Amino acid sequence: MLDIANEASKFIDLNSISIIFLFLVGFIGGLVSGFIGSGGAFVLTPGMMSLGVPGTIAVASNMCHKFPKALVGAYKRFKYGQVDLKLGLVLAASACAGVQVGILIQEAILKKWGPAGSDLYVSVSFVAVLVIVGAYVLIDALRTSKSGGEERISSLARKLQSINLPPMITFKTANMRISLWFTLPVGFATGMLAATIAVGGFIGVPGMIYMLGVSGLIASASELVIAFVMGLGGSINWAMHGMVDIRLVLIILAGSLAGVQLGAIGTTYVKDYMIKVVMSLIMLIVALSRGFAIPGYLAKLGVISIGQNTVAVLGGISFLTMCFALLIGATVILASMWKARRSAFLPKAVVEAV
Amino acid sequence: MSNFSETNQKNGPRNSRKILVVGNRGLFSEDVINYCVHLAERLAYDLVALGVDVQCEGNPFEKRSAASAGKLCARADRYGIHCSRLVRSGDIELAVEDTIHEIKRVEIVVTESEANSESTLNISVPVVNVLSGSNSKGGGSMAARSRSLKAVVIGKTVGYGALSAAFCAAAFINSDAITQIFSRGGWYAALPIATVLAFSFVHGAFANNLWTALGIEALKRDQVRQTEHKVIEKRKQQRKRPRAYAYVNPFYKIGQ
Repeated sequence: MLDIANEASKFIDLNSISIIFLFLVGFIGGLVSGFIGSGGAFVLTPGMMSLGVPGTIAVASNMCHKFPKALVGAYKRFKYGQVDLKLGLVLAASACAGVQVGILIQEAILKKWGPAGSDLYVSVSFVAVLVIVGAYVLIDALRTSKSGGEERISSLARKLQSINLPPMITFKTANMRISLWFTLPVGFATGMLAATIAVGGFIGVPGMIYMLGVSGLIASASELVIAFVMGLGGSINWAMHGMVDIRLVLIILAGSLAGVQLGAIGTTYVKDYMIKVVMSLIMLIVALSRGFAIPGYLAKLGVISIGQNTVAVLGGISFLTMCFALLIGATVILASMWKARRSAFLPKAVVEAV
Repeated sequence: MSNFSETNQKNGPRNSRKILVVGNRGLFSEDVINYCVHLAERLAYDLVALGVDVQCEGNPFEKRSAASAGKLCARADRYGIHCSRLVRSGDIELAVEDTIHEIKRVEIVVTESEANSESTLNISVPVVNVLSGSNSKGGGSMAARSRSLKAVVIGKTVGYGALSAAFCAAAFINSDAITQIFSRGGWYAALPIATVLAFSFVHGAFANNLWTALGIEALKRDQVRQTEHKVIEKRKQQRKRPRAYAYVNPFYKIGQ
């Protein structure tokens, strides 16, 4: 865990604007999380910091809201038959190991290159992972939509599923059987990324889809189980260090618990590949936002030289682009739901085949 | 026995797959219209609305059925689905079978009431019964049941909402003291964790009931997916019809 023993806890004064801001960001973040399984929380930490909340309290409070939101979202999607509990728990176990390794790497970089170096490492990881994975997911989603909306198992996943390497595990809801050894890297990478950029699902969900051969719907739903387990562990850790501002957590939860349920409902209105579309859009725009922040860190490390004003402007653009990513995701989700709802009212129907 | 009149929305003969929608006494309810249009859109099938004049009423039945079928076709038109209308008289089962043979490529029959479904039991294509909440037989009691369910949901929304508001009020009125106690660390960590879990239960229930009260619920796509699946299975299972091949000997009778 980062060395926070010497940091004084500062809890900000809240006014109505900050309350409304946190509620709205919590709602939109919850909506996106409920739909794609992750991704709503990454805006909250910088969002809280923009209100003057110290970094560690922002991270701690964010994590403390993430696990109950994931619990509610997972429960809702479990009722729709979308969660593979076994898959979520198996991946969560290796994710916890990944989190610890991720934290150790962060601490080592912080010791060697200081806060600017640590921020640069985080941002480069953001950009690299999100651009590569986001582009791949988007291309796949567009290909799926052009071919009539039927998701197909990737050739890699088919190959891995065919390898009989004990212990083999059958995942009923995900409808697949695969060796435990192939689930370990997916879970581990999820945990490592969560410790690095606070969003493990951007590796976890694509990992489940393309490596393990799980559908987008079940992958995004099962990811909520992983998010709950990791979030609970992390929150207990932060709370034991006294870093949780309960007021911020309650305000964000008030918005996100409503949003996550709406996002979960939204998954039942749209075709499965829409989850990939929304996820990849958000990933690519967030990668862009992080790209704007990189020059600032390079300047702090002395690699390049740019003016303070430029750094401030780039920082502002970075933050706004991140908010835009979330807004775009929410707009696409709500628009898809609206379009599907207009034609899709099915009260009760009984099918009898003769 | 059969009285046939057809109105096509678009010109020209069509050889596409069709969903035959059988009206309840010539009428097509909102539920049936929604279901058929959605199903036709997903499967890219045409719609054929069939009104069967069992009581041989004649003109009044035709007018009534035409008006109701017109609504179905207008809705289908909005989604680019081809829709046509038919009126027949006589026995429902015979009328439906005749229609299937006449217009060809009917893949699914959609009917509304259970009365219709009994007479269509022996039809050769899959039959879907849409149980309407507003049908005349059970309509009254169904409507009353749904009103009371709505009242329960609204009650739960208000109840959980009040509890959630009380929770927040308690936290924020004494926010300074609570924040300090909750951030003491060590075993005090149980306080924020327990608070957050309790609030999530209450506020989560409020949010759940709120969306339900607003009419925003999960779409039960299972029924449509089941129908699609059965159509695909039916197609796979359909045996190839025996075909007769005629070989014409071009040299027949040459030289005779």
